[in-house]
Amino acid sequence: MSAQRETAALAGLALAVVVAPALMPDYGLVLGFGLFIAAGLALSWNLVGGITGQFALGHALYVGVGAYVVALGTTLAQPLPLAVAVALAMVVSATLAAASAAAFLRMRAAYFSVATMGLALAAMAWVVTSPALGATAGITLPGDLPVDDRRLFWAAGGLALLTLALTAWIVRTPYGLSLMAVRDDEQAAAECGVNPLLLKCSAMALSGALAGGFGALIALQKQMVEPMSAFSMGWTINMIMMCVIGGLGSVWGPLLGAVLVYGTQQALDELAVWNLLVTALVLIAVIRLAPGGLVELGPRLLARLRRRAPRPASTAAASSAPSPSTSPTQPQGQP
Amino acid sequence: MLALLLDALATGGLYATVALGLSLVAGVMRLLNLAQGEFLVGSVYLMLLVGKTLHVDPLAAVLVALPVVGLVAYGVQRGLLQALMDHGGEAPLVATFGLSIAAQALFQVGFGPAAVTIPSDYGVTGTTVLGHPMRVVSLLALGLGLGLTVLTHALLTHTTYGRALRAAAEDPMAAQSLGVDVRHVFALCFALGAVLTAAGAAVVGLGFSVEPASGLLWLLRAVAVVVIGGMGSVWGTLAAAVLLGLVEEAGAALAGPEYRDVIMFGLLVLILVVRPTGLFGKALR
Repeated sequence: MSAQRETAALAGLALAVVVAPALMPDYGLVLGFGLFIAAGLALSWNLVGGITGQFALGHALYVGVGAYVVALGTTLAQPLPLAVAVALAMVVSATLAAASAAAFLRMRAAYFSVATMGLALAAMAWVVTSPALGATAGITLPGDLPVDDRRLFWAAGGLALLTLALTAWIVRTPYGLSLMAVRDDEQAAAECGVNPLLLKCSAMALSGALAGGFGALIALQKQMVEPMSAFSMGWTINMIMMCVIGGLGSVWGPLLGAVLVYGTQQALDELAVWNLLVTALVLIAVIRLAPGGLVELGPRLLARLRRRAPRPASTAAASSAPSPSTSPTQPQGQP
Repeated sequence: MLALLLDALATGGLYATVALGLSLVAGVMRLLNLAQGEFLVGSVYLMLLVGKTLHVDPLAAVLVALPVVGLVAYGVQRGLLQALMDHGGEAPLVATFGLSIAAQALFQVGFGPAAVTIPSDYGVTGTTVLGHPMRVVSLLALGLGLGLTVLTHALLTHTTYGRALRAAAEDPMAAQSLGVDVRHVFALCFALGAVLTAAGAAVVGLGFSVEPASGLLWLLRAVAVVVIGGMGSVWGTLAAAVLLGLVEEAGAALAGPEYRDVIMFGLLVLILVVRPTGLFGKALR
């Protein structure tokens, strides 16, 4: 997508987020909030897992930390202002993400995955055994916080759009190109003068900050935090499934994946396990048959149709259809 | 003290059995199979099913389950993973992750979310070793760990297949050009890894319990063992498994059983940070 069209699409989405609450029933606000959280988390994971090519399996950690920082900040004897608590949640998550990246950077790709997952599970197990953090019962947020469904809708929508815009901007900057170079060939990238360690740390910090922000919003919406759901592996699984199905490393893929996966999750609420099974199988099919994800599949199919269409037309010798040579991808060795 | 040591040995034997398959696949194919834990959990469910429908002894059910698991693994490698490994990058890892999630969902659909165990006498009968009461299944774990390690070592060093496998691990292109069917050898290796893990499943199913998501826990334990022991190192795996079993039992005894998970996961992360290439170095290559 060209830069102008992308900017236009982003502006359109922003406008939709601003006016939507006036047009929707209350339940729509809750559903919309869920979609923004899902899409925003998928997009923030994409910064590390897609664009930088590091298959992180521990993003649930940042969601959980974000949620707990807000819960702790608002239940202090001298409670922090809400905005400060959310900002703090993002800073703490970012620091944690950067630190874990720095600690795990020397590892081969697959060990990095396992280490991030291990850290997330260790954190969950630690919170469960920590009375100061409410152990298994968790923490209930104060009831007088200035939040309601409409504000949460705007906050989550704004943060998700910010994540989307950031992704769209990053892939066009030299910074984004360096990240992708590290993904494609770390050694070659290092020899070209970029610093892979610094790049991976910064991508993790950015991704962790955003995931922590969404975690904070989740805590505010649920009005409580509890270790099993705040640090649930389910967050990570959803982020990855949405990302891969939509298009790993693309700008709009994670959003598309989130709409599809979250949509079916809501529609098939009572068949959650079957839905998970089918979604996981779709993920396997996508990675095997269309590694670019569904966002690439549409244009590819269109191009193929366009290549095929002229054939019968040319036999009829009355071709007003576009000739094969206008299609961007030339069929090789085909008449 | 002796009691602790015996417990640690039994735990270590079990970990060795489970981790051997992961280690072999990681060492030979440079692939960390995130669905390895699901091979274990799936095998337990399969043994349960076979035992129930054929009314046979659980250990006989194991003999039925192992070839099935091996066949499934062979198919997965040939049909899905091989093509992705040719591309490189994240794709094989993403695929095994997808397999893991799909398998967990499948287990829940087929067998429900509750924890299950294979009902048998082996799990509840006790015996006395050096004056310390132990479960028969713990001795089985220790025996399996030792036996399978020796068998795998023998397979790798003394058979034509073992030589082909090591050649393919060393340099797939060269092995292929010398007439080794690398794809077939890799798929057999993947199947062998699954079967080894499935053998550990017998102990897990008889002595403990599994639920659909248990695979993750076993995967992380196995990874910890593989990281300490070195990828593809058969004896390193055994030594690392016993070491991990000892640390886990001692930690749980000192800090209290509720901290077992923190210790387990914390230890894994610590090991990965301190020694990303393993304590015992590389052995297979």
